[in-house]
Amino acid sequence: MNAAPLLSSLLAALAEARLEAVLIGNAAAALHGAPVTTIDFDFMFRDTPTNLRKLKAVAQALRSVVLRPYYPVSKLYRMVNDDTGLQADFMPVIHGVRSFEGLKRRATTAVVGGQSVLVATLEDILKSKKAAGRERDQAVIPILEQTLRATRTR
Amino acid sequence: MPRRQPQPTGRSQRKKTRPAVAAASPSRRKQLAALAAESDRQLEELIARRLALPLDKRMNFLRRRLPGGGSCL
Repeated sequence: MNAAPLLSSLLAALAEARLEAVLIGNAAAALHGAPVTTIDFDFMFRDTPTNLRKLKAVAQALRSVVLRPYYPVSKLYRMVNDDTGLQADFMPVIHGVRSFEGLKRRATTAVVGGQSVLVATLEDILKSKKAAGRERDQAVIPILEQTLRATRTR
Repeated sequence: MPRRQPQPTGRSQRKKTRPAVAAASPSRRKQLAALAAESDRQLEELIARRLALPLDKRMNFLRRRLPGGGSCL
């Protein structure tokens, strides 16, 4: 399925609310050219009270709800709209990445449907996948490593 | 009153281990190596094709959830 319509509407809402977030996970890896798929968009953000208000505003604009599926174990905020099929996860902490500032500084900017988005580098995505160590993360590591090699030799 | 069964001793008490898997024959090993190399080559080609595309053409990565569970592209 083409992710552009959903992603651009999400990015437009993020820009409208001025919520700063960096795209991570398989969606970011796919934008870097890795042949991987995903069912959601993962973002890293800072969970300040202001940003949580902004996140609610984004959810309202997209007519979606914000859930805390793993509360209180995890600080993951999941934005879901069953009608459009949108699922976006916002995480203040991710495995293998020390700080949001560092991730943001290394990130590249991409434009999707006229909206700009900060995309985490493949190196950072790989680091987080390796640190998370789940089976589904382990499965894509060789693909991401090969993509990284291919981008370096280009 | 039923008599107690005697406890097994000696070899029968040892933990049973799985029989060793027979080593692949040289021709089978060659076939597997060729298959792995071909798989790697295909993946490299796929990545090269993806990298050659502009960003807006790399967007077909989202899977849709299906009502009964699972997902599809």
